[in-house]
Amino acid sequence: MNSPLAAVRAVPRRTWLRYRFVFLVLAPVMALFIYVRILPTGQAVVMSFFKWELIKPAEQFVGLDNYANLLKDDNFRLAFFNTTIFAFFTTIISVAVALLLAALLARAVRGRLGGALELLYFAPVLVSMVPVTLGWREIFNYNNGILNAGLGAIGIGKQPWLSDPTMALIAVIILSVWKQLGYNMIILIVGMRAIPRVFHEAAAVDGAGAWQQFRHITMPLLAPVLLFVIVITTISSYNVFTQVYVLASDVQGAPGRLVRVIVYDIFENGFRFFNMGYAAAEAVYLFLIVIVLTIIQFRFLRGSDQ
Amino acid sequence: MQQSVGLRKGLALLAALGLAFGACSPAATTAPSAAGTPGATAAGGSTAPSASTAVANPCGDAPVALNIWGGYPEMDAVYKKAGEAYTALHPNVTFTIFSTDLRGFEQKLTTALPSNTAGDVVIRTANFLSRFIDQGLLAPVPDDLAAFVKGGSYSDTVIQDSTYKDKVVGVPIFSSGTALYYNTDMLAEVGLTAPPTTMDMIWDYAHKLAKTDASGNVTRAGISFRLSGQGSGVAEKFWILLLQSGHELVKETSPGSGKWAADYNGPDGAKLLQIYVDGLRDKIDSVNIDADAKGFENKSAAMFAREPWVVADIATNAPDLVGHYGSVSLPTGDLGGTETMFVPTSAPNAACSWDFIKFLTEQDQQLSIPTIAGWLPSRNDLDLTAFLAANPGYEGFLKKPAGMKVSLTPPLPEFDELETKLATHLVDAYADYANLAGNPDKIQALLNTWADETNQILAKGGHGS
Repeated sequence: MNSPLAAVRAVPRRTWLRYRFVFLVLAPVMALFIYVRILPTGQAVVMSFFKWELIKPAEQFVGLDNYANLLKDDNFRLAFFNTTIFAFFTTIISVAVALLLAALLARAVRGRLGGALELLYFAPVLVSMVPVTLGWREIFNYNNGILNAGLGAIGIGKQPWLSDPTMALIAVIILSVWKQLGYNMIILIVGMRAIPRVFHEAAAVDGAGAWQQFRHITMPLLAPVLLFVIVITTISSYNVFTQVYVLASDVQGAPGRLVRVIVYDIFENGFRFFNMGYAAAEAVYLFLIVIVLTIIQFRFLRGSDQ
Repeated sequence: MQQSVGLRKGLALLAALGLAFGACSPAATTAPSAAGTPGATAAGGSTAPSASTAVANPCGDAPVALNIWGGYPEMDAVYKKAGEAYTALHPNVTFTIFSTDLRGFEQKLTTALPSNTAGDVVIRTANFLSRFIDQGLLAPVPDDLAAFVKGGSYSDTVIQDSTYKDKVVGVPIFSSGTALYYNTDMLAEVGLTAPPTTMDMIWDYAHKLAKTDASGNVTRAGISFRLSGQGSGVAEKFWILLLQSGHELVKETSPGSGKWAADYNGPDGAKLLQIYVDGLRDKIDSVNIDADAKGFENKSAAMFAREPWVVADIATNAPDLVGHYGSVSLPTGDLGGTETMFVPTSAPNAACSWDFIKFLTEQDQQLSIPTIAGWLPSRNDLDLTAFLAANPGYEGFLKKPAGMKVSLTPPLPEFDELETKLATHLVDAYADYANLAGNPDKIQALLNTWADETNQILAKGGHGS
């Protein structure tokens, strides 16, 4: 009874009838989703078992060779490491800071000031990634960037944000947290405002302070929303591409070290080196990583909820 | 209630799967002075087959829209001007021009050519397009045009660069090469009166021209290397300097054998990498300052090696530098490159497309390339003396020392992969210069490791020795 399929089979006929309108209106969207998402993903899985060039498909069946070779590929291992570090810190920081801001803006700061602050924090979400990254590239500039100027004002030396391997990764994390923060904050604010005030009022009558209310009322009731935010942020973090591509793009002369991430590696293998089968195997690895992480997060956070 | 919970669980799982599937799915420069143009004339060679006076009008009388695709946006104005001149001769023909940055353009071609959605004329190197030629996605060059290409109007190097498997596969339009740009004011500042003409002089000049601030940070590179960035550019710049010692990135083990091997891991390659990392240690350049054309234009670099388009770029972006810089040929070797015109097999107006390609090979159109875009025309039977007199920034490209060897990108489909992977290693080595400087053994070990990888890629592509 615990498996999803068993659960679906156990649904009585009247429930299906009750939901038929829902299924009816969802059908065209699901059909489109299957066509543009599920089928290409299935094709990618098939492709991963072949030596498959971009313009010379299905050249040779190679079984699991692409998967095995990837595990020995230094670029893939580096990309996996960088992407995991990036996803971990981007998710942790953007969710934690968003939670803090949401707690302040949902209850403490209301009215026009609250609205203005919400807009301010959400604004980066509305701007597309390429111009944002170009702007941040100037902010990170070693000699003329505002970030190093600010650090200099407080006695910290210039940092090679775009040229040092570690600093370049940190720079991408900073940029991405800034971009993701507003989205996470808005979702969490909505979640917090959906919690009936009566719980907080009752707790206050019982003498609970702000922290105790947050810890024992807000957080447990916010858990499903928090789960959604964490899953979405993790998935989008594993798909990081535009930032690293633009920060290291072939501009004439601006320093820009490439932070190799999985999607960039897939792109390079597929569209520069034409090794689509190899790139497809890499995409399947990414798929599995995201699936496993999503299941872990569901289990962990759902478990703590119950 | 139990069932509803089960249904919600099922839907939640579907939603999670959907999210996971989503995660995996494929997701002007101002022209330099044109004063030289009127005096420029064809200096010999064969005559281009006439485009405008063809026997039968290849574009017919019905409206025809030709779409021209290229990877160099600064060339758009050349195509536009040529298109207007062609439309004056053939009023039923109109043009649209598409270009984007080179890498973006290559990626677009890789999907557009197989799906028959590319432009009517596509312009890229024969080397890059060789895979597409193998797949029959690009039409063969008409016999009269192939004969023209081989008929004396182009240098042997340009003909070779437009040839694949012993056949002329495209028609050259503009060519590239590299020269060393130098800031004359900076040279004078340290008492240097003439540009460097040997590699030893270049390194000596670089040390003299570099500047640091009180904290030891480089504020001016004596010579700007390519030290970072994605793609193969870092390795290509290394290769150009390697050519000065007579070595390539990869070399055919014997001419015509089709077997290739890494050629950068010998003593000359090790010496060059040593110069790079020692130079970073000695602060003749830094990974943290603006480099390349941008660095030269904002005076963060005293010298750097690059293609001719920089002359036009300087005129637009750093006009105060005009008259305060020069270019000189690299000592003994150059890396040639020819952008070549092709017609996709699927092009609906192939005859008209080829006729426009002929038109672009005519003298007037070829001579407009340097004046409008800064690149050099592929034809070598044009007299550019007056143009050079009006635009001395081109000296390093138009005055080459006797015996200069021009190398070309090898006709290997896997070359971009091995060059890009070498570039990744070089970027790592430059970042690790503190550990490598003054350590020839470590450098040689690194080069040998990289060469193994290069040879494996060649072997995988069927070209290993």
